[in-house]
Amino acid sequence: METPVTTQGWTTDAVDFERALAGDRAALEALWHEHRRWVAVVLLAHKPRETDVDDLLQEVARVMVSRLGEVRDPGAFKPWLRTVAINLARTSGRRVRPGSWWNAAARNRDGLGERDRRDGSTTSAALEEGRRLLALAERLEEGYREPLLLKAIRGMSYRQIGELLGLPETTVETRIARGRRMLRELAAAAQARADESAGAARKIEEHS
Amino acid sequence: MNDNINNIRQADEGNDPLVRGELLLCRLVDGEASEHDWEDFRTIAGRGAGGLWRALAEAQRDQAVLSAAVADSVRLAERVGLPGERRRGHGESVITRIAPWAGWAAAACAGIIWSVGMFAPRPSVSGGGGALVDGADAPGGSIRLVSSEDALSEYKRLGKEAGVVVGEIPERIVISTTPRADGRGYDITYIRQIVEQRTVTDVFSVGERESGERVLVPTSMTPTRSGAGSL
Repeated sequence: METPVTTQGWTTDAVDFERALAGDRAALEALWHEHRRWVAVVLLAHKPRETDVDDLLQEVARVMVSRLGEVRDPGAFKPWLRTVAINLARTSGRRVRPGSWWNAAARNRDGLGERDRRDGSTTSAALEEGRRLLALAERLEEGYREPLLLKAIRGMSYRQIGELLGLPETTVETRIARGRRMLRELAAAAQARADESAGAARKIEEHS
Repeated sequence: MNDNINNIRQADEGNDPLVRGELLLCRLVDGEASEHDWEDFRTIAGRGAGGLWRALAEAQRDQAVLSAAVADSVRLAERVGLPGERRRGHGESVITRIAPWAGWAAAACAGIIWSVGMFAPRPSVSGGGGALVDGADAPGGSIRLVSSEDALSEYKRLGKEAGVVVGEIPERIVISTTPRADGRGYDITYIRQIVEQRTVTDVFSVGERESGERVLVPTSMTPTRSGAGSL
C-alpha cells in the first residue's frame, strides 16, 4: 500500500520565516519543503478533475517566491499559502498554465506521467478502493472535503487543520465525522448501483 | 456555493446532530481520542454492542485506503521545488547528468585512441579581458575573443578551414529546464552538437594483459556507410 503522506514539521518558526522573507534561499526552500505536502492536498481538494496537482503546486511555488513579501506575520503564512492554493485551483480550469509543459517534461523524464500513476506498479486492491473513495469525495461539499482529505495526511491533527481553515477544533472534528458519514453513504449507493447493474446483466444473460 | 456554506454552518451549529458514537469512532481512527473517549468506547462495546468493533474496523480501513489514495495523488509534490531549485536527487553536476546520455561517447573514447590530434594546443589568455589565440587573419597572428560565442565561432571557422569541423547540428539536446526565480522564463541547460572529423593513421584499442595491466593494442575500424566508424 502507498505510504501515507506525513507532516514533517508544522510550526512556522519566526526566525526561519524572517530569513526566508529576507531572501535567504535555504530558508525559503526549507519553508516550502515543510509545507508543500499539505498544500498539495488542499489543491487536491479544490482543483478541477482534469488538472494535475503537481502543475498547480509548481504555480503555488512560483507565487510563494514572488509574493511572500506580502506576508508580514509568520502566523499568517499558512492561511495565506492556502488561499493562494485555493485561488489557483479554482481558476486553473479557465487559463493556460505556462508551467505545464515543464512539468510534463519532468514527469516524462521521471517516468511518472498521469498514465503511470493510474497504471503503475503501486496499484493494488486497497489503492483502487482508496481511489474510488477519493473520486466519491469529489462529490462532497468543499467544507467537508478539505478537512477530510487533510486528515488523510498522517500526523495532521484537528488543531493543525483548524489553524489552516480558520475553524475551531470541534468544528473540524464534526466536519470530518460528517464527511466520512456522507462518503460511506455515497460508497454504499455506488455499490448498490453496481450490484443492481450486475444483477440486471445476469438476468439478461440468463434469458438470452 | 453560499447555500452550501450556509448548510455546513447550520450543521456545525448543531442542526444536524452527530451520534456520539460517530464522533467517538472518528477520534479513535484519527488518533485524537482521550482516555475518557477510550473508556466510553470500552463501556459501550462491553454492553454487547459488537457492531461498534466492526464499525471501528471499517472506519480504520476506509481511512487507511483513503490516505493511501491521497498519498498516491500528491506523491509528485515531493518533487516540486521552488523555481530555480535543483530537484532532490538531481543535485549533481551537469556533466554527471549528461554522463548517462553521453555513455556512448565515453565508451568510444575509452575504446579507441588515435595517435594524432587528440590534444590541441591551449589558447593563451590575454590580460585585457579577452583570450588571444593563434589565427592567421588577425594582426600579429592573434584574434581577440570577447565572448564564448566569439570563441566558438572562431573554433568552427578555423576547424572548417583545417578540415576538422564538419559543422554544427542545429538541434540542441535539452538536459534540464528550470523556471526562473522571478517567474520570467526558464534556465535551460543543453548540449550543442558539433561534428568533427579526423584523419587517423594509427588506431589503438585499450586491452588488458593476463596480469591485469592495461595496454594499447593496434586495431582497425570497420567502415560504415554513414561514415561513422566502429571497432
